[in-house]
Amino acid sequence: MATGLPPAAGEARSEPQPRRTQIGPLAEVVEVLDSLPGGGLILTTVESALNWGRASSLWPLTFGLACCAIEMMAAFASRFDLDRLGVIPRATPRQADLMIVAGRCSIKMAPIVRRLWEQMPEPRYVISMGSCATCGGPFFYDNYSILKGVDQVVPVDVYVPGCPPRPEALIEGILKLQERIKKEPFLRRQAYAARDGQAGAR
Amino acid sequence: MTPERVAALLGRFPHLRDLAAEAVVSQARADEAWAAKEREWQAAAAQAKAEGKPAPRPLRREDPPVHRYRAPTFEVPRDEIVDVCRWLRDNPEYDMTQLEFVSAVDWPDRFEVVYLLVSMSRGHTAVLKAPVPKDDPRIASVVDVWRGADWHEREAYDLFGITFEGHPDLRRIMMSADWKGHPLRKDYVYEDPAWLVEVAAQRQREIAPTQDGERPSRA
Amino acid sequence: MPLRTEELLLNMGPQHPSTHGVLRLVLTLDGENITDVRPDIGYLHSSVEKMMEHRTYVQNVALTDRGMDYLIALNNEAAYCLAVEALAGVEVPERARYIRVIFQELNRIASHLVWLGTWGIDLGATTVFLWCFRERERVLDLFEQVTGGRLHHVYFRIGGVYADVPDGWTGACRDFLDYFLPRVDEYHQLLTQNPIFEARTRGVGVIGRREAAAMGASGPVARASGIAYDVRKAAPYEVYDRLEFDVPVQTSGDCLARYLVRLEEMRQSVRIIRQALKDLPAGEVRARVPVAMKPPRGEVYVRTESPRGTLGMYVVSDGGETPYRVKIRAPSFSNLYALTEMMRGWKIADIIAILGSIDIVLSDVDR
Repeated sequence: MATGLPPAAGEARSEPQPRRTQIGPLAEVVEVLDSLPGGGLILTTVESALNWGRASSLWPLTFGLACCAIEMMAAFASRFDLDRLGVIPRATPRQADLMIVAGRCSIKMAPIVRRLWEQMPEPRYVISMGSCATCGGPFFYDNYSILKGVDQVVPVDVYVPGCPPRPEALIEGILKLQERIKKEPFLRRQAYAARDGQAGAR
Repeated sequence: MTPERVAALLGRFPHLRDLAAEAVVSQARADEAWAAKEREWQAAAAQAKAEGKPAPRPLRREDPPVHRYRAPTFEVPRDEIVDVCRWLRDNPEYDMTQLEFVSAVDWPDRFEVVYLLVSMSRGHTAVLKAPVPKDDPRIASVVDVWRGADWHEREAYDLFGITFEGHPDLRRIMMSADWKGHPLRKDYVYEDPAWLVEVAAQRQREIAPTQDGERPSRA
Repeated sequence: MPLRTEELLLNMGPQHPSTHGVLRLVLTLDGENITDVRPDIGYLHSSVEKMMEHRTYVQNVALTDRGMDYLIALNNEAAYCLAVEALAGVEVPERARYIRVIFQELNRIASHLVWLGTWGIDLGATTVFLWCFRERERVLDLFEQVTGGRLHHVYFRIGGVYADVPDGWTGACRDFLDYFLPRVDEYHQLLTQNPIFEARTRGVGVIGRREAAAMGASGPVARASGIAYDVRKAAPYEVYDRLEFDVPVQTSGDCLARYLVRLEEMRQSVRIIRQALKDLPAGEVRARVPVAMKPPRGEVYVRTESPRGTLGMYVVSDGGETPYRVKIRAPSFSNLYALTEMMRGWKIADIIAILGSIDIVLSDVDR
């Protein structure tokens, strides 16, 4: 891509297609289990076990934009040590399931953020760290280059306020995200999405 | 810069204007005019007092419209800028080896391209200002004199729309290549680029609640 | 059939763990060798110069923290406040000037620690990162006790500083300095004598004295190439003319030289802070300045020595409540331009070492 905007923007322009996941047989198992008496309970137990695993090994993308990235680095470093929550930064979006948008996102950068998010495998989560990523923050008025909130281009799960948020605040945001992940009907959603996708294909 | 060096520079390039010196002169003139006015007022007040009349209204000094410069500042005609720069760099008396920045100021009637030169060995600075008209913002590039001017000129081109003739690679540097307008101009009006409007609208559709009030699954 | 080689165009960034932000490098490669590098910047352009034209002089202090180089918020504030003070003719109390010097030098230490830590990670030395951030947290604690913030302080005001340092703070600061100075020796032990580190940095990314000057490089990058120039010495501001310190200079112009210059600068900063703490006079810390100040028409250019190089502030006033134009002369901008010269001819694995060694902050480059 030559200059920044157009190619990624063109990509983002296409309507979202229903995703095909590779869990065909699982979808049937889930469907059968869900219809059996007591099957829902088994399903929920399995689901919460899986969710516990997912929530305890969030791998964020090593991706800093501005000042908040320094606080993010501080959160990964000696004193705060995010590793103890299972949060280990990965350098490529293909291996990451969490994107921490740390800092102001310029309009020139927005298509790239969107593309990085599209490159992440599902299920994926986004934390918007700091006021700038959340709503433009101090760069809201009289400004021509900063995106007023990164949620204009990617869906955000947790907003962490602050300018910049302290590492503790980021950790709180990650804990909130973990809570949310633990409650997700992960298997059912995946299975039914796969079934609906196949039905759509037929 | 010592007065001798300033004089030598002005002698070599007679079209240069020494703005700092001119400001000092006009400041002195304004001070003088003010002092005269004050003397007049005092005389009038004394006369009024002697005649038992109420004193005239006290004077209020308007902020003098003098633009003050705190470094040696020269106005350079735009077709001489490269010559002046090269001379200042190569003449060991000045030895302006460093170009700190090239930028511009958008005045109502003109653009002013500002060059800030520093001599590390002599320890002096100088500001060069080249006015360019708004309807024809062109000036010669000084990349041949200082290589470091490259990006600074690209930035001024990007944000002010001033064309630097002879620049090897004059492209936008801060904004994306398809950006419209030059943002640091005073008359610039921001509007969202079309693709952003589209993407944001698509995001709105994605997060809009479905019929049963639930948010759609995270696609 | 004759063999033919083709040049490869490689994009590095804007998302790359080692570009220290959102920098994009367009590399032209001949096999492993770099034949040309074109940095593509602007991904963090935050239009701070435009915003400053719409805010009052006092409000703009907060913008200098965020919109400019975020690692050295206090140095930015100092440059801006000095410029406006010169413009409006505000006299800063003596104590405030000493406090400002102390905080600027503490910020220099914090900034160099971030640089050393992240560069260490780039070169595969994760320990350095953890050690540097351990020390940096202690500097941030010192900041927090006074300013309440870790990164963005808005502590310097036009005419002084916001408030005096609390009781016992100077003692805590001295304790930190006593603790910190031996740590610099530890970094030396950890890195300087490490053969891998040396192999990756000695002689790599050389830029000569003449090229560095022509390309506008300043700060540690220029000093590593033999340009003995420091604004604190050449055109002293605040109270730097009363303090004794050395300007470290190296002549080899490679990555190792830039590293050695910065390590020595940390030592010198400790020296400066110690003297300033000793000489710290009593008295007021803030001159009275109206909130809606209107400096007279005119312009001023103030140069300061930030941890990255010459940080300049060019402020033009038209007599109104907001500046007519603010131009920030960012040191990283020019230093990054010098990168094109440093990288030519090196191998692709050296990119990270060279890029890290010039210590750019993209917020400073793009503003």
